[in-house]
Amino acid sequence: MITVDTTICVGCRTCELICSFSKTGKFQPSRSLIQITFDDQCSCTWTLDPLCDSCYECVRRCPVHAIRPEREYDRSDGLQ
Amino acid sequence: MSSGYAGSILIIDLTDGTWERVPLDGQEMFIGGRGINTRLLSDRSRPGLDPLSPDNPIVLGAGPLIGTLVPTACRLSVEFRNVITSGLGSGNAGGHFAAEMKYAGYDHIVITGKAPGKTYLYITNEEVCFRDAQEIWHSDTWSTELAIRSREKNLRLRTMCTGQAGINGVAFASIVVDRGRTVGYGGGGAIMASKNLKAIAVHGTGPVEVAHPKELLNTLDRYMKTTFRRSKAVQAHQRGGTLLPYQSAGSSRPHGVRNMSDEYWPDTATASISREEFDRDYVVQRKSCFACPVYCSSLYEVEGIRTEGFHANSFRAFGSNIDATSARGAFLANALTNRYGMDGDHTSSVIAWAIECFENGLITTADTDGLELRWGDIDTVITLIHQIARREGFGGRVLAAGLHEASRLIGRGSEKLAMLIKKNGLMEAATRTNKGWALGIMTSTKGGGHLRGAPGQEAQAITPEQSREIFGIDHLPEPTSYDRKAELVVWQERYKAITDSVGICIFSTGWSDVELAPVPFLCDLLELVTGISWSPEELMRAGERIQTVERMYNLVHGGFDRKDDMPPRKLMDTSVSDGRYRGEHLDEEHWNRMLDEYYRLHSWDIPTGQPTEHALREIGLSNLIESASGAGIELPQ
Repeated sequence: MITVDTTICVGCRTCELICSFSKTGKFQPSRSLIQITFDDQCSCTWTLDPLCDSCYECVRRCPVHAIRPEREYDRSDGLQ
Repeated sequence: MSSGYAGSILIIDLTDGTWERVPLDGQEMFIGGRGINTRLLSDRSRPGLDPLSPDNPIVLGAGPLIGTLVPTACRLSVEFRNVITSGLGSGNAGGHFAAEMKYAGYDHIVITGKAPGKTYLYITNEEVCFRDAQEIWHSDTWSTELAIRSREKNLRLRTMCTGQAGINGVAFASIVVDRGRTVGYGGGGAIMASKNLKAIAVHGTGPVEVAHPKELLNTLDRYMKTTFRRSKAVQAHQRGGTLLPYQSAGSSRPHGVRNMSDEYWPDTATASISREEFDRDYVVQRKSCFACPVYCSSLYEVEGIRTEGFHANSFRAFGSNIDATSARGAFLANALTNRYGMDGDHTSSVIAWAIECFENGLITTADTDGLELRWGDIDTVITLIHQIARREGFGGRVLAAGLHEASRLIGRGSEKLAMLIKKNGLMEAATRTNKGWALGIMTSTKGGGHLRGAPGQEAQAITPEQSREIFGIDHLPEPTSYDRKAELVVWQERYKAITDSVGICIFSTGWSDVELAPVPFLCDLLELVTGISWSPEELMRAGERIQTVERMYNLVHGGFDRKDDMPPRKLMDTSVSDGRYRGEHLDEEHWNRMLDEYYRLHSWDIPTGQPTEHALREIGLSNLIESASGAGIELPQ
């Protein structure tokens, strides 16, 4: 599983894109297991579906390293 | 339908409250986004029609790369008839709106007619809802989105809307997207209001499919690793948006100072509105647009007003162009123009003109209801911003009409101080020093500005090998030279038409760093996403086609030709006063030679600057010959 540091998240939703793409082969944020929304002050909030299988594709692609894995993972193919 | 595209255009008639979905076409000729938008607008515009007439459409476009993982593919193109110039109104905003359009199933949205009552639209995958906007009609652009989110009980919808400036008929009212991004030029906000349309909200849940998913992901991963993340321009924007590289260059770069009267602004002045202070005292959090790893935007708060932005343009608009050195004042002025929904560039341009007129005795306190207009007085600028948006006092009576009309209203020779191109107010830097940049600004089909052919590449350190390979120019001369600049501008016009049409941001293109998004790479992306093959030559030809449709639109609807590509006299009659570029100005004879070459490269008529019938036929635009003829214009052969 993962956690999101909302003080760092810039709200690009790359995580939603890659999550939906990894699971369905299509870009479809509505089917992403991680969901990023913005409150009235424009700060982001996040939710994670329990079905998340910790593939960490979102961790690898987050441009600001706001998504943190719960456990260590193989960083050798980390993209960021 | 091919992949990448949603495959549909949504056509909405506000008068009848009806909508229909029609199949997308024109991809092979016009790519998508801005390209198809311009064709849709051109097909639906009649010469002589008032820009605020219900029959004039607003056209929205989301290019084929939008909704995918392609970095920065999020730009919403908006085209309409320009309130100020009567020619093309065009803009391009970031945020998430365009991606939501794609997920809702639409590449383009065409809005025509006038709603019988105050209305906002709520668009989802299934339907278009016409909602009563009476309660939010006078809300600012930030509050409008919050109210619609609350009413629709949907925190994922995105909006584009008009603020009080548009509602009150300010000629340069902007369209604000996602609370903080702006379609600035052309008075789009006033057009929305004239249609009784306060806002459009959209949320989609469908997919964007791509032709070659695995290869696309591999290509993007490789590009991010080898090129994108290594780019110094990307890194600078990540550190501090466009403000950091612009402001930290100090007086070593050319500025736009005191109504573009000079391009030298001393280091003490440029240091006064600093990125460091902005970050320390005002920024709440960095923000990005959809799918953007550059995250150049900032959510900030000043005097209790929250907004996004403050970029290089804002620094110029509320700093150098009015010779003001108050950071707080500049941040506040920018926040107010965002909230009211008015173009910051034009706001600065018309206020700077008024100050210069006042300093020269052409405008007096008798005109301004007692207001003293002086260089550097940001508090008076803020007063005028309130007046313009609310249509009160001198600002509301005179300045809200836009620079061209305001200078006509005042008269008394004040017209000579108006920095106009194609009737639009200019607020630009480096228009005396960087000659290609100046040519691109003056010939821009938006009615001036640096977001068409103005080549950012001109000021980059580009090797002769890169120049030869990319532009076919053996050696790119220094920015102050006129040589080879027409070639560079024509290249950038075509390239920018492509990047706007696929939907990526200018900061992720060669304009910002010549290594980014080269044309062959864009061909690869288009094939991987859409399955449609383009050669670099075919893609650049599509860019020329889009540019030419826009040129024709300006000729037929605005009456613009060669005479309207001449810069304001001030840029020729006065020189940079000090610093590295001291003495630089535009020379009329050199300018005309550069312009001749620019038309020749486009195969347009050199004496008039009009596209020839031959040139139109060559790129598959014969239909525009008839349109011109219908408007009483016989084009050169």
